[in-house]
Amino acid sequence: MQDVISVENVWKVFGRNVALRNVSIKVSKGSVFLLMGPNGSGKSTLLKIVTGLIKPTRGHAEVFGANPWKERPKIFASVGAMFEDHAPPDWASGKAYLEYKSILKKAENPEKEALAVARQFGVDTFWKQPFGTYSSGMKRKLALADAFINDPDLVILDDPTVALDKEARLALQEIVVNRAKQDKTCVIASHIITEFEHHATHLAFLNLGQTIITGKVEEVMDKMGIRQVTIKTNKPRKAAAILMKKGYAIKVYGNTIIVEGSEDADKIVKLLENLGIKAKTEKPKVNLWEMYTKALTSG
Amino acid sequence: MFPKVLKWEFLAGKRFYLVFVLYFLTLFSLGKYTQDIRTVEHKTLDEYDIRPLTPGTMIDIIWKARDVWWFSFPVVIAYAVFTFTYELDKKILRTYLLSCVKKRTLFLAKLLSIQLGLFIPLIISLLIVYPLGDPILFGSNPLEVYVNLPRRLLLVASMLYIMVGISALSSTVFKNPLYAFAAPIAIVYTLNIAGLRVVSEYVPPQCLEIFDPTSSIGLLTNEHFFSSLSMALPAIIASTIALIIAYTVFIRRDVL
Repeated sequence: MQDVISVENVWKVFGRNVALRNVSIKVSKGSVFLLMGPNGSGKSTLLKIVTGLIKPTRGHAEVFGANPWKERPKIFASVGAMFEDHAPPDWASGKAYLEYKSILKKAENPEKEALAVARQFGVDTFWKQPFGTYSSGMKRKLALADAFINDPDLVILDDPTVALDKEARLALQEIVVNRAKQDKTCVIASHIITEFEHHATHLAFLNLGQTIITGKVEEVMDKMGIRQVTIKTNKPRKAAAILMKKGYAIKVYGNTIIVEGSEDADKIVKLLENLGIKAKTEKPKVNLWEMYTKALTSG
Repeated sequence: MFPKVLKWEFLAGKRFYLVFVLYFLTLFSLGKYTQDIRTVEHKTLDEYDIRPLTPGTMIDIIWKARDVWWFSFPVVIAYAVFTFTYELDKKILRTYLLSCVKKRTLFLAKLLSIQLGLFIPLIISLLIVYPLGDPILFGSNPLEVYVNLPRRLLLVASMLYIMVGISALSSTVFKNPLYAFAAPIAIVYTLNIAGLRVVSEYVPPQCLEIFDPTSSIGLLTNEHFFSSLSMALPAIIASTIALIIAYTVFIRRDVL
């Protein structure tokens, strides 16, 4: 797959503080890339380098083959982004701001584009008020709408779900999933993201400014020694009982059974089918929290 | 892109231009302009005559250059510094820069909108004040009232340019608006107290001190006008250098 973002051996130093140490990541086209790490791990700094807001002290970053620091206006024709403390001027209304941003992102019809993105997140219900009067959730919705102006090929979201209500979280989740189907890329950074754990295709864990591990979800799980088989069955209780009897460690989520510590999916499916239980393997069910904890403790 | 960015910066409802119109109106009107007939003596070796003052002169006599400078410079610097530092606030700046707009375009639009935000109220207030100074003449010959207006505007504009230059540099260097405001104020006052008067010495209207106190811009000859302008040149150049430094810092600095 083609790399949309390529970061190679990037360092960023602020005075005596080293924010990033030799970080390298690649983001493929059409992927849902989760960038995770605790506070101060360098996620936002990395994303600011990728969006051309800050210059790396050392190393190289490319977005769509262009240097973001030098060619930021060019790359933003196909990139949308939001950061944690998004802040239009207090006097601006959400409507005026989104229309202005649509102009800055070279939308063909700025007013129409602003309305379209506002509707996606329910911003149009309050967007005539000035930004200074918004609650933190409303501000966050406006920031999200801003990021999706012009339906960009790449969207970069820094902690997008903080302060969002359930409806907006679901709307965001749906948009991200639909975009992935259209081969559009999403990079989402957070210290923990449960909304996207089942939709992520790629992962990177950062800690103390360093990449602990990065790659496709399956690769990361493999590198971390997380071996599991995910099986969908019509008789989960019976299947679970059989597998437990055979000595497998399992977790049951509705009709899905995760068999931990095993890689032999065919053998397990065959075992269940021989006993009259319909079963098929599924894409690994990711437990991000578990992976995140393991990555941080082992890293 | 530039016209659209400038339009947003200038017209998007955040600037209280009316406040500045009122400020300049008050500033220019505080003098004792009346409808009394005033005259000025003109003496040369060969002749002596007494001429009535032109309307603009009525105001200029009372508000000599130094007063305008001392009364307007803290206000103008405060406006420019606070607007600039607010606009350059990293969060606000970041929201704009996450788009196709160039940093250069943004900086120039912000700078120009501040300049215009001062200059347009200045023009408006002068257009109002001059006819008020001589309503009779304005009634008979409206254009005559605005005699020398372009010259006066040019000199005052150069004064504003100098102040905005100082403010832009200070706002870029000091991220805290209070420091950004305090620094140029402190510098100008300290230099003046110390008798150096480096900054204000170059302000064009102050050059009028060398003339007869009853004279004014309205009565200046071409020679005197260009002499005033040329004396302002070092400050204009210094302000331009300050703006170039501010621009360079702005372009190269990370937006955290």
